[in-house]
Amino acid sequence: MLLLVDCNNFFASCEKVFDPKLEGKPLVVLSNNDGVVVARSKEAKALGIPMGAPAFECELLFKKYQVIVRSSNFSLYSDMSKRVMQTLASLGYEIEVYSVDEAFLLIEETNSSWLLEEARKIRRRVYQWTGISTSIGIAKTKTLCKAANYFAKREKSAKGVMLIDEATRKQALELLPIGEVWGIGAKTQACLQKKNVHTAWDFISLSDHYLKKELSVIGFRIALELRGISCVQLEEVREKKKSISTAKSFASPLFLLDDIQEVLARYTAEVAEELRSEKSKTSFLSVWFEAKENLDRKNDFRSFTLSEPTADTGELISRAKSLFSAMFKEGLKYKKVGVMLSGLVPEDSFQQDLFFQGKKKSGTVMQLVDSLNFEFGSQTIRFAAEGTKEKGKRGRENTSCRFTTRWDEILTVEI
Amino acid sequence: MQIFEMAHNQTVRNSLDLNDLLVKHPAATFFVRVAGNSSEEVGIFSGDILVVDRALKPTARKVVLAICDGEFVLRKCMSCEKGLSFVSIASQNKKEKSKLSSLEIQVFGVVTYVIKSLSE
Repeated sequence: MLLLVDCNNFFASCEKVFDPKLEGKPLVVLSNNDGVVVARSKEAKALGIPMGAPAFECELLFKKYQVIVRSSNFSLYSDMSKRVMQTLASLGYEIEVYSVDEAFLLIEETNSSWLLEEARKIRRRVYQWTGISTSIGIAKTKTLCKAANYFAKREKSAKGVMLIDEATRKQALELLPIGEVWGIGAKTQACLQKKNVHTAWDFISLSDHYLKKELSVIGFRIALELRGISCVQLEEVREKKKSISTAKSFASPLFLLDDIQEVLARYTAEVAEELRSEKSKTSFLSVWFEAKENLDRKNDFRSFTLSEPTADTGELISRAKSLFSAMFKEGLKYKKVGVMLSGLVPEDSFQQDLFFQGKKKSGTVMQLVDSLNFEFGSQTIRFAAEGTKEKGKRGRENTSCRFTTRWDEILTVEI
Repeated sequence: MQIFEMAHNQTVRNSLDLNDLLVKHPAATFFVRVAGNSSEEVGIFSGDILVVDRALKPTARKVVLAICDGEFVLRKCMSCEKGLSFVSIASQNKKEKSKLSSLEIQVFGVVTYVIKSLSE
């Protein structure tokens, strides 16, 4: 059976581990430059603060309910993620790290009561070793695991663990709203609801012919998985764009840096908006131009790897401008400039797709998960600081310390 | 020549790593700096860095990092009829007995090593 281990309110939980005073209080974590809400504690969720809400819109609400506001601390979160994954790896099962706070485990066992007990042990170990609370969904396929996890989080009686087997599959799918099925996005959900498909059970009751025709092989695979048939390659459940770009010729050639930067900023804002409507973030930004120097054609291309995936327009504009400045040469007749966003990841997770075959030692897992930590090291903080200065917006006001990655920021205890 | 190379490789592979000594459960190990007073009783002084292991269960005579009323504190475990009690490690005149686990105190982890610098 497969187990999906999913951390509860991950960023907020990380903050709580090192600040016990946060226990039981509403807490939100804001994105880069304190733009939007990217994480909420369960108390903040109960207040109705939505994910992705712009921070300035919620200021009154924050004051009224004394919501604690923290700026995102990616160094801390990625290190804590590494610890959670290392803890899971220590159990000896095959593990697939799916995102910063989710992992699949493969356990060669079908006895339900044994699996439930083992899942409880796993929850206890992760909590004891890292202080992070998790929910575990157990089922035959990944899509069913996600469904089981949905219930594990919401059913109080489940106490964080839920198993879906053949006996309970129908009931579970009848209770699962179609929008909550892994791989069914908002657009598909709207389409299906028009056809009177409201639950996962309605969905799998559709004919195979209909599924393949209306929703392509991907939709068909989702149905198969919900029926309990595992589909081996489930990397791209949702059809997402691989990159978003725009490049337009200027109405008339431009010569001045400022003029070109203005146009570049507009193009960047456009692609950033499309990025957000795709519910994605980018980790790789490219800028290029076409120009003429006297009679010769000139062009150049620069790229930048973002230290953390983002969909923030301000940040992207600032970076795009830097890239172009570095390429700009006076005296050239600029005819065209382009921006491309690639390395796209879903906005709610940092995609890591690592599948381990066989009983590899946990050392291998750590090596690969280490790359997460390396990416979100010192670069993250420096970049964000640069961004704040340039924009003059409120930013990173309430960052917790990097308790696990900086010696000068470790916890202090008083005797 | 060959013998020398082999010996050299062996040495490089086996050089001492403090992590092997001090960190038994990397995922569960955290470092904490001590401030304020010192505890001669347990040998923990202001300025020291503690290695705290969450994977270990607290047992009698161990020093633990714990949470009491939302604050991080250090306590020594003592066995008593009801199981474990947690006693302050501060000097005699500041001692206060804390209650048992769960309600009043929550253990963060067991202190396994104290790293002390002898330079100013």
